[in-house]
Amino acid sequence: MQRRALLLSAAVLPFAAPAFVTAARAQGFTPQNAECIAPAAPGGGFDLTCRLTTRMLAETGIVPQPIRTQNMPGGIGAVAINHINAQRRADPNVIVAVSTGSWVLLSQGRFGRWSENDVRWIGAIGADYGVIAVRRDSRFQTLADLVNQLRADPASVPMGAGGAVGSQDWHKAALVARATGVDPRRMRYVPFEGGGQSMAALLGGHIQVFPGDASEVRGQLEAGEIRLLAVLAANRLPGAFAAVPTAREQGVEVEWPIVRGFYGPPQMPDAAYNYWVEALRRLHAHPAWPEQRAAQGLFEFNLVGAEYEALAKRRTAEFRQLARDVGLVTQSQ
Amino acid sequence: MDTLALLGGGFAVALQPHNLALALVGCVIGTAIGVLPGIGPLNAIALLLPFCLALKLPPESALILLTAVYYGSGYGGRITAILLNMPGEPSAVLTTLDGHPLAKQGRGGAALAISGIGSFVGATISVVLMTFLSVPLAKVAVAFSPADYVALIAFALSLLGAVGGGSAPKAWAAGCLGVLLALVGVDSGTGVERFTGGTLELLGGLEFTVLAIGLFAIGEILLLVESRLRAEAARISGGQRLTAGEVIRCIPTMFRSTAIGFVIGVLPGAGASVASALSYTAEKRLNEANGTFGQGDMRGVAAPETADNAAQIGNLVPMLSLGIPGSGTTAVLLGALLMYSITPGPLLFEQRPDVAWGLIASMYIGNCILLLLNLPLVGVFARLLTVPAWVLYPGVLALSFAGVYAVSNSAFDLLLAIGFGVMGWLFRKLDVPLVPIVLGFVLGRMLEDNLRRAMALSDGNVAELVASPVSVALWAMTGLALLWPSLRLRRR
Amino acid sequence: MRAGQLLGLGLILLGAAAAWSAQALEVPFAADPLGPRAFPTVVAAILAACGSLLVLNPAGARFEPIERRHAPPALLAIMAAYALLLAPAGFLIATAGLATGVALLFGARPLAALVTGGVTSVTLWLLFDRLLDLPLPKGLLA
Repeated sequence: MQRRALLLSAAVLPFAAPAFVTAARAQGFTPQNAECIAPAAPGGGFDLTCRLTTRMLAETGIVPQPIRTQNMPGGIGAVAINHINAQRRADPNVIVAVSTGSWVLLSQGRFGRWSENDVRWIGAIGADYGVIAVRRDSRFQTLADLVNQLRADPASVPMGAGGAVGSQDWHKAALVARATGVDPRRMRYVPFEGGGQSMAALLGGHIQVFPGDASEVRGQLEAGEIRLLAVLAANRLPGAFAAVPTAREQGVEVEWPIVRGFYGPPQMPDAAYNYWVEALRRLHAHPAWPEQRAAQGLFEFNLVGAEYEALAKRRTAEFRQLARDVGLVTQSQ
Repeated sequence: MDTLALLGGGFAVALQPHNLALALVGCVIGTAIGVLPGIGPLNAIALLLPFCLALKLPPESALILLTAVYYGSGYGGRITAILLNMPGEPSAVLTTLDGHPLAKQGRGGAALAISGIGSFVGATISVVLMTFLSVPLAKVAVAFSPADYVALIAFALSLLGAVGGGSAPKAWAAGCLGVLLALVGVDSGTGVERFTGGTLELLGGLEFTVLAIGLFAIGEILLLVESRLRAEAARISGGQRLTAGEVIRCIPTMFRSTAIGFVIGVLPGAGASVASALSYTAEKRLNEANGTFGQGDMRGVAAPETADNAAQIGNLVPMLSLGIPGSGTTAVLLGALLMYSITPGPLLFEQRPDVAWGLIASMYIGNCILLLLNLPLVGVFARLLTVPAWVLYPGVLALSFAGVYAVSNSAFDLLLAIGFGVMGWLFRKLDVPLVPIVLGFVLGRMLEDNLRRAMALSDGNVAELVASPVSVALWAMTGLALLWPSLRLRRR
Repeated sequence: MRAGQLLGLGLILLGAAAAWSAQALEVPFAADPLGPRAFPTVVAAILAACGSLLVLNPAGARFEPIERRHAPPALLAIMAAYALLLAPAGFLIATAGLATGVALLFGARPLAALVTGGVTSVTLWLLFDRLLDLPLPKGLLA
């Protein structure tokens, strides 16, 4: 997926960027008092997505006016999508932070009556990747060791991460289990309060496997406290992760990018939609962006516009299927 | 010796004029944030982060500023708790129990002073412990298992009867109510929704600030407005200052509370609220013979405030030495490091000793600043109560609402707070204590989560709950705490 | 019936409702041996038990008579109106109204109440919207 994103951006950028300048101005859209809605309180993940990205958009001059961040916690995004659909269906000046975790919630019908078709998917800003972490003295050396043990007795491997059953974090473990023919319902998954407590439980030996995110395990990896059995990415990740094989290399077809990005209201005018898409496209091309993106703990992931929309809809559909298979969704959706 | 040299290097960083200035600014902001009801240190740090980046502050300076906000907030929460019976932070809830009666007796200034001194003692001793024992402590902390947490929380709950005041059934009912309120939202073990009534706003659970503002601020104002208006100012001003004898009497309490607070703070799964609750109830039990807890005992103010600040510092131990955030606030502090391309983790002290030791050194300085800042201001704060009610309470109410709304943009949260306000008002009139509600809210969720974790890890084997020496000791103390009243009766 | 008994009755009903609601949960699969029902049910049972004790022995609970009968309902109405009108009317207007109303309830003279309302509203707006950069609704002033 990442490779596709890179190819796409490489192919589109050279002529898209100059085309934008004329296109957007010709259609005459300039944001007025634009807002970025963060479906979290100040300090939450979405909050930083909004604050740091909009700051960068303003600093680079891609968007002429500063964009203010408005916090709207509640239902991990449910309240925000409700607000957008109820009160700002056609507002051209509002974007909302979103992540793979939101797609998971959408797929399980947790956003009320709203679905992935009730917003306009603008684009991604980057992605973090799932990893399968074990303690340095773990009996599992490779993903295959873990898979074999899971096949033999799924309940013998206590796993834990920062999210509830059915959440983004749980999916990493569930997909690995499912890819190897193990029923995710039979895993022993223990939810903790956040990645930090999960890591503490891993180091303390209370759980054996922590399906975490690359950005949150890096410090422990560099210090040699943990080993990573796999990264759940299409290709190996750079830097400290270069030596860690992907799950796919080890014959397990699982990818788990945690894509962060933005959506707009369902009836956002085309001129505004194109403006925001191009703004993100220019952000991805800006020389200062890679450093800023890394500061948010994100790797390159450049899908914007129609491609991003296709990804959002495809992933949501996949998650919906998994939720049905596993029986996470009890009512008919 | 090595540690001292490194700490010296840290002081060289922290004593640079701009870092001193930032520590001061952070302390002031932190205290203010502690006073604001809706906004906590987590929110404030997140709001300040973009400023640090925009001002191109070097990493050690940014961290000194943000961390000062964090521990400074521990000094602020008590002010409204003592003077107005409205805690500004979760951990200040216990401070209302003795702090507000003291304020009513005209000793608000003295209560503020003792809490400031307690905060300073707790924080400073904890920084010393952190300086020398950080790494081994953090290693011990991660060994604390879900079963151990169950025992710890059970112990804390067994002391709950001590905060009830009069009627035990009322105190327990209030505690149970708090527990049930904490369970609203998506259950993390299975993903099912509990007690939400299908409301989107409730999926993520109830916010502590909404509950606290309702029960304490709105409930208190409803109670005040219904009674005939009297001139309140008269009985407040002019109280007797804190005497040296009172401080000396509080010293054992402060040492014990520091120990409790620091140890609990180091555990990634507990926090300042647990620490302040445990230290208050422990002190109350220890001093039953000669205490006036609940009616305005200085030790009842010193205990939770000392433990609160000790726990806050303790919380930084796993964060700095292992890169493990135990709370949302420390997670954002770690995020700040990441923004400077510094990887938080066990190698932080090796890779960036300037940042790690500069930060620790700045905490010695910051706590001195906070003490010097807070003691002279005690009189100014206490004068808050001489403001006429028709200025004070509209202001407090509007501030509470604005704080909730600014971080949530949710009218639903405001209505919820009003609902809790009615509950708080009726409960006050019926002599139902409010503090157990809050403690149940904080502890209940932790108890269920850890109990279910422990059961999942042991595959339903209850014996695992007492498998470690730590849990056995804690359960023994729990039993003792529960039996204590009857044992004492028999002796008489 | 005394106030304490009423309270006890209320707590019993609340406990029963919570226990019923917990038992009615549909659990997709048992991820942990305890499940989401057990803990709330036990807590609700304790709550109901405490309520029963209060019904049997409501000692000490009496409801202090309300001295100013009009004040609590008036305050509740003002607060509810504030919550509902904050977004449409805007922070400055709604907060000025809230603070003025509450000041009047606490016995301020009309002019003093208006000044309190205005100053409170503007100060808080400056604090949150300007200083902390947390946007508040503009409403009618947009």
